[in-house]
Parts: sequence; C-alpha cells; structure tokens
Amino acid sequence: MFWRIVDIGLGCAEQLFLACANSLLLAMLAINLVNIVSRLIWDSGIIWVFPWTSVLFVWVIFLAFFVIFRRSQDIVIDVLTRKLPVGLAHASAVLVAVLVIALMALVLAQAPTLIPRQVGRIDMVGIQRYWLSAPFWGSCLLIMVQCVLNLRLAVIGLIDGSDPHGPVEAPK
Amino acid sequence: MTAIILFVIFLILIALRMPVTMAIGAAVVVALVMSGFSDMMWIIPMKVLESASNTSLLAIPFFVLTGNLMNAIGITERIFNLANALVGHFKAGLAQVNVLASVMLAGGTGAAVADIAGLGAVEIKAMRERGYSSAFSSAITLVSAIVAPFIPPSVPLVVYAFLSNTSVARMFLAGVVPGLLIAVSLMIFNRLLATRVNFPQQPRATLGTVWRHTMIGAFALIAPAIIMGGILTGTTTSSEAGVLASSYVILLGFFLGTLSVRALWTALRETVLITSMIMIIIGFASSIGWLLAIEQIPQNMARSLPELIDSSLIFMLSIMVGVLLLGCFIDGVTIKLLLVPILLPLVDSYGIDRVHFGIILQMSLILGMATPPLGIGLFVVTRISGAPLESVMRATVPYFVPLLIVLASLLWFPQLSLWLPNMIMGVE
Repeated sequence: MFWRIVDIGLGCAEQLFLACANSLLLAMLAINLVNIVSRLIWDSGIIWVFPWTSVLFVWVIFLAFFVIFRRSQDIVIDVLTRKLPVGLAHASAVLVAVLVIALMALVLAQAPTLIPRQVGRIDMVGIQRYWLSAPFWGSCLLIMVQCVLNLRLAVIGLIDGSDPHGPVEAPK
Repeated sequence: MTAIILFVIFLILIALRMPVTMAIGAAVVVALVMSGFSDMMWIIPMKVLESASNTSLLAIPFFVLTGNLMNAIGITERIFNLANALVGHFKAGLAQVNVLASVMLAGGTGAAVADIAGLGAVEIKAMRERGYSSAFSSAITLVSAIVAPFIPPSVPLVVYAFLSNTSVARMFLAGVVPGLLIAVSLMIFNRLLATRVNFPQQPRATLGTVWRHTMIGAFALIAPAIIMGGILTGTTTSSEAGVLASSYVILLGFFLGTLSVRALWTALRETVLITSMIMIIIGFASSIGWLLAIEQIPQNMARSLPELIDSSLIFMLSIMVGVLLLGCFIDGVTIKLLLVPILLPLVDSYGIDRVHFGIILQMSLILGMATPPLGIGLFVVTRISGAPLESVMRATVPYFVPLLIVLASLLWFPQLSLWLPNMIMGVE
C-alpha cells in the first residue's frame, strides 16, 4: 500500500512538472513573439524578455528532467542486458538503481555548498539566483525516490525470477 | 589516464542499461575521485546549472518545436505529396520522393530521428501500397533522414557551434552543400538501383497537380526560410528566428484547420522532453570538459599527436574512422560532448577549420544512426514499418556506398563545406 501511494505521488508530480514545463515553454514563445512584434512595429524591444526567457528555459529543462526519467525516455542501451540470463539482468537493474540513487544523493548533498553561492537578484527578473536551480534539486530528489521504487521492483524480480526487463521500466 | 578511465566506466555503465545522462554523471564521479578531486563533487551540479543557463543554446527548444508542430499539423503529408508530384514519375519514383521530401522537411525538423518519425509513416505506407518491399522502404526512409542535420536549422549543428565556439549561422550555411550532396548521391544511387531492380513506376503528374501541391506544400518551406532569413540578415537572434518559425507554423495550422489544442500540447511535450534530455546530457558532460581541462589532456594531446601524425588529412581520417566506430555504440550528442573538448586543440594545431571539422564530425556521427547495434534511426524505422531489423539492415548496407563517397569528398575537399559560409559571411 505504501509503495502504491509513493507511485501515485510520483505520477502526480510527473503530470505537474510536465504541465509546468509545457506552460513555461509556451510562455517563452509568447513573450519572445511579443518582443519581436514590438521591435518591428514600435522599434522598441521589451528589455525584460531576454532575462525572463533565460530563466524560463532553465526551469523547463530541470522540470522535464524528472519527467524524462520517470517515463524512461532517457537514452538507454539494452542490447547486452537483453541477452543476459534472468538473474543477471535483474542484478544489473539492481546495480543501476543503486548507482543512480547514489549519484542523485551525491548531487543533492552538494546543495548546501552551491545554494549559498547562488545569491544576488537576477537583473530585470527580480528573483534570487538560487531559485533558478530549485526545480533541479526537486527533480533530483524525485528521481532518487523513483529509483528506490525501481530498486524494490528489481529486487523482487531477482528473488522470484520474473520478467527481466520489467523492473527498470518506470510506470507510464 | 583520466580520459581512459572515464570512457571505460561510461561504456560499462551504458552496457548495464544505465541511462546515458546518469552514466556520464557516474563516470565523472569516479574520474574525479581517481584524479584526487573527491572534495570537488560540487563541480557536477554546478556545471549542470551553468550549462542550462547558457543562452547560446536557447534556440534549441524553438527549432525542435517548429519541427514537432510541422508534424502535428500534418505538413509532412503535404510535403510528401509535393515531392511526389515533382519526382514521383522518375525511375524508382517513390524512393526519389522519399529523398526529396526529407530535404524539404529537414528545414523544419533539423533532426534525423524527427524526420523518420514524421515522414516515415507516410512514406513507408505509400511505398508499400505501390509494391515496394517493407525492408527497402524502411532503408531508404532511414538513409534519406541523414540529410536532416545538415539542412538548416539543425539542432546538432547548434550544439557543435556551442561546443566549438563557432557561429551558428556559419555552421548552418556550411551544412547546406553537404546536405544537398547527400540527397543527390542517394538519388543517383536510387537511379542506378532501378537499372537492376524493377521498381513500380508512376505516371507523370499533370502541371495542374504539380501547381496545386506546390501551392499547398510551399507554405511548409517558408519556416526554414524564416529561420535563415532572420539569422543572416541580423533581424533576429537564432532563438528569435526559431520563435518566428514556430509561431508561423502555429498560424499555418490554425488557417489549415489542423491544429488542435491537444496537438499543440503534444508538440510542446515532445519539445520539452527532447530539449531537456539534450541539455542535461550537455550539463553532465560539461564536468568532463572541466576535468579534462584541469588535467590538461587536450593540450598534451595537441602537443604530442602532431609529432606522431604529421598529416592533417590522416588525422581527420583517423578521427572519422574512430567516430564512425563509436557511433555504432553511443549516440551522436554524447560522442560530440565527450570528444569535441578533447579534439578542438588538436584541430587547431593541425590548422583545420573548425567549421569544416564540425561537418565531417557530424557526417561521421550521423551514419551511426543507421548502423547496428545501437543505431537509434534503425530502431525507430523498424518500429514504424514493422519490418524485421535484419532485413532493414541488409537493405540499408548498399546505401553506405554513396554516403561514404560523400563523406570522403567532404574530407578531401573542405571547400564543399566552407564555400557557402565564406561566400555569404566572408572568410574568417
């Protein structure tokens, strides 16, 4: 039951992050279009468009980072693992999940070092610089939780010897 | 030694089915520890944040969005019909249509896989209906998509321009002649093939039909013209040119009545996922660039390699063969991110033009898309056609003859890449 709730929670976060990323991309398109039109018609650009576009671009990238991982849309190469015996394929899935958890934990552990360095307001945007990386830390945390789910499935697969390619596939 | 450790660990991890982004990150962690930088792990997230904030790559989402929107509003089918009206009556007609349609759509998608995914379904279905085999239809769809990263706007060339500190406009112009050469070589090969194989023939389209399809299809060709026009005249930045092209396609979809909210949302979704993946890979790979620079690996190679290989042509040839082999196992963006920081000092020390090198690198990399075991294009096209992988591979192999001839020509005659940018933008 607990794992089911975690999975549903991650699914909701995925939908939320994706909707936000899509909306921000649409906003980037809209404000840049208005800026170009304004320059063409009134010969005067809107100066805050470029800094805001840069901020939105960063947020889009980091919000979609978790979505890519959750949907298994990252580039993976399974030529070798597909040829492995069931047990080894599960063992490889366990190893990959553990490594990703460790990597994400290591990245998150750097947040206390990096966030204090990201101070000062962004020109013409007005927000503190550390807000740029907020979705990145969020995505890393969610990827770590997703990997714990994947790890659990891989371990179950290792024990009962079921479908070797199932465990690393995140639920759609 | 650091570079070797990095590559070996990376290869082991991706072989274990670790996602490429994570494998790069994990390989960097090990390389940092082994190089005595274990107290500098903050470099990894810092480089990801720095790369994402780099405005040189701001054009990528808009170029990708333009391509996705063109697919979403059904432009691909119109382009196919236009190409069919123009060259459908040639020998091996639909194979020629396939190539010409890829050239036309390349101006919108800028990525080979997007070309296969967009045009592939339409082309393969039409070719099958007219009696072409599934394997041949898939093979020609796959190799004709190789044109996409050369005809502007090209996402891979934007990434290379960023890595090599060259002008995006110059890279775009440098890709035009090679892109057209690839298309012409494929069409000549199709014609030669038609002397041995009895391909189905189609009647010549009437002038009225050609005119009608030109009127409808030509609207699609305005998108790349907006991008190149905006960049070359200096009216817009490359990202703004992408904004204009995307907005134009949205407007076109609205007038054609083919753009629904759902289609727009899907195009946005595909765009954010592709862009994010490229940028996150760039972010993690930036740490590699930092580590290699600290260890002075590219500089040491730039000093020692010219003593071993004194000909720039042999150097380029070795790089080309190495990249072709690597391309069979690792995807293009990753190879580019791993190799360009190492190779650029060497390229400079041999006096090779960075723009020319970028085109050779891109051509060598893109062939990997069509080769086993990890050719992503091969997987996408077989998924669309349902043809067995082995038969598609067999049908693809002969096309490597014209493609390798083009690659050798580009290597031998740098002017094929440099003539257009030098003519329009002046010699650098």
